Parts: sequence; C-alpha cells; structure tokens
Amino acid sequence: MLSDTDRATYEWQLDVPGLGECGQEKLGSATALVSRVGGLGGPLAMSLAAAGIGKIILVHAGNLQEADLNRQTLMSRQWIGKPRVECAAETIARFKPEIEVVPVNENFNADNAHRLVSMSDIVFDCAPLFEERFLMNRECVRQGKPIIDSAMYSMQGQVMTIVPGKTPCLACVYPEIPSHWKRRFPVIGAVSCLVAQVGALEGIKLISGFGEVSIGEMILIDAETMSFNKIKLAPRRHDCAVCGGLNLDS
Amino acid sequence: MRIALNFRGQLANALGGSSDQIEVNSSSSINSILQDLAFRGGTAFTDIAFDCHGKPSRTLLVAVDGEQITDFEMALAPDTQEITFIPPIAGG
Repeated sequence: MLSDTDRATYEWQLDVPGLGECGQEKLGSATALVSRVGGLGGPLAMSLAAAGIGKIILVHAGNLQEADLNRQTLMSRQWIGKPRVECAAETIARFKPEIEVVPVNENFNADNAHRLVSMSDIVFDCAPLFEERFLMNRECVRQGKPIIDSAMYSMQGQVMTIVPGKTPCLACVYPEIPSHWKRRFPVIGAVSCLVAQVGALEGIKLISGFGEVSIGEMILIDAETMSFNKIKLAPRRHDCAVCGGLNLDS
Repeated sequence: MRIALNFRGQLANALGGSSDQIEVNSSSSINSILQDLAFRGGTAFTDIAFDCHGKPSRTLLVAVDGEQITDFEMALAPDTQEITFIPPIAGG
C-alpha cells in the first residue's frame, strides 16, 4: 500500500492511464540490477529511481576517468580517480533518499553472477562487452529473471526485452560472441541517455504491468534521423545453448 | 524489383552510409546481396558480416520488411520492400 508520502511524490505519475496505485506498488517493491552505470546505465538507473523502484543494485568496477564526463551524467568532476559506482549511488541517494541503493564496485562476472541476479527481480544490461552480456543472459535465464538489454553505437541504439522461456534470449539472437566488437565505441551522451530512457520505460512497464512491452521484438533507435522502428525477432532457437532446454512459454 | 537497404552500426561506416537502394531479381537472396555488398564494403564490411570461413556471420541480424529472417539462401519475396542489416552492438 502506498504511503501518504508516496502518493504525494508520485501524484503526477499516478495520473498516467494504466499505471495506478497497483502498478506503483509493484515498482516500489521491486529490486532492479543495473549492470554498469556509465552513459547508458547511469541515466537508466536515475529514471528507475524517479519512477519509484524500491531498490537498485548498481554494478560497475573501476574509477571515474576524465573521458567519462561526456556521457556519465551521474558523475561529477571531483570524483575522477574514485569509484564511479559510489558516485552514482550518492547522486541517486541525494535525489531519492528513500530508495535503497546498493553500489557494487565489481563488474558482473562468473563469481558474482548467481548472487547478484538472485538479489534482483529484473536486470538492466548496459555492459559494453559481450562477454559480460552473455554471462548475464545465461544467469538470468537460469534463474528465470527478465532482462532489458540496451545497447548503443554512435547515433544508434537498440533495446530488447528478454523474458526467459518466452522470448528469444541474447544467445538466440547472437549465437556467439561477435569477434569484431571493440571496447571503445563512438558516443554522444545525449544518445546514450536517449537509449537509456527507452530501456528504463520497457522495464517500468514490465514490472508495473501496464502498457505494451516489446516482447519478441527489438526496438531500433536512430538519433541521426530521429526515427524509432521495431523488428519482430525470429522465435526462440530450440538449439540455443542457453535457453533451448526451457519449455516454451514456461 | 527495387528495394531499400538499411545498414546499422558499424556496417553503415563500412559502406559509407546508412541506406541505399538496389535492383534485385527473382532469384536474389540475402546471401547474394551480402556478396554484392562485400565488393563495395571491403574488409571493413566482411569483417563484420562474414565469418572466417567466408560465410555470413551468425551474429548478423537481418530483417526483411520488419521481421528477422534466418534463412539467408531463400529467394526474396517479390513484394519485398526493405532489408535492414543489424550487426551486434554493446555500447553502454
């Protein structure tokens, strides 16, 4: 049940048709894991906080660097050389102190995968390396947790909602790690923020149960032409090494 | 027939633009279009669109008129209007 403070905080949001108090309560009781809090994951996490997600686990190793400041909008210059995940947690906590924020100064890896996913209801994948994305996909499929997979490159982005057993998983779509992908990619902060908001909205709709989630589709964003498109993905691959063993629509 | 091609991500860089139009015939397939594009795009294109054995990469997504297709050898339907080539991206 929403408190009086919640009702006051989310007064304008509760007017959105379909969300309602029930949807807001679901947001408030959900735990979201956001892998990486850079140009994409940072603003995505902030929008989850604004929407009233109850708990956010932020996962990102390493210290803030000068070259992060064109896009990592939860950061501030005085944090250069210090753990960026703690700066992100502090920024969110300052904005919404009632939300529980858990900073994890590690990247998603084989040792922490099970623990981190088991603490979460939904995972937002914003990692820049496919090795991390594949690992996250595998663990989420194993535990039956949905993933919002958001990615960008230059002036384009794409978002895919993965519901294990129901939609194609990341390994259905990309059966192997792409060999050509490089860690460094061209990025303007406004584009990563734009893609982040699409990913955040997909998750908010999925958790709260309102609106139309793009199940079995990939959302394509082109900031150069300002166009949004969707493609219908092929069905799950029965020979998928990750989700092929799950019952259909289970 | 004339169809529109859209190239996303690094493929747009490799081909010097994000869209094009080409003339295809009744036997054209995704494979044959990829082979034609390989002449234009050179190694910047083939490194992404093909594997080390010269076959279309398993990580290349192709959508015909808004739907992903996985059979690259099948002849295109005569009413095909648009093909989108989507390489994997992971920028975050």
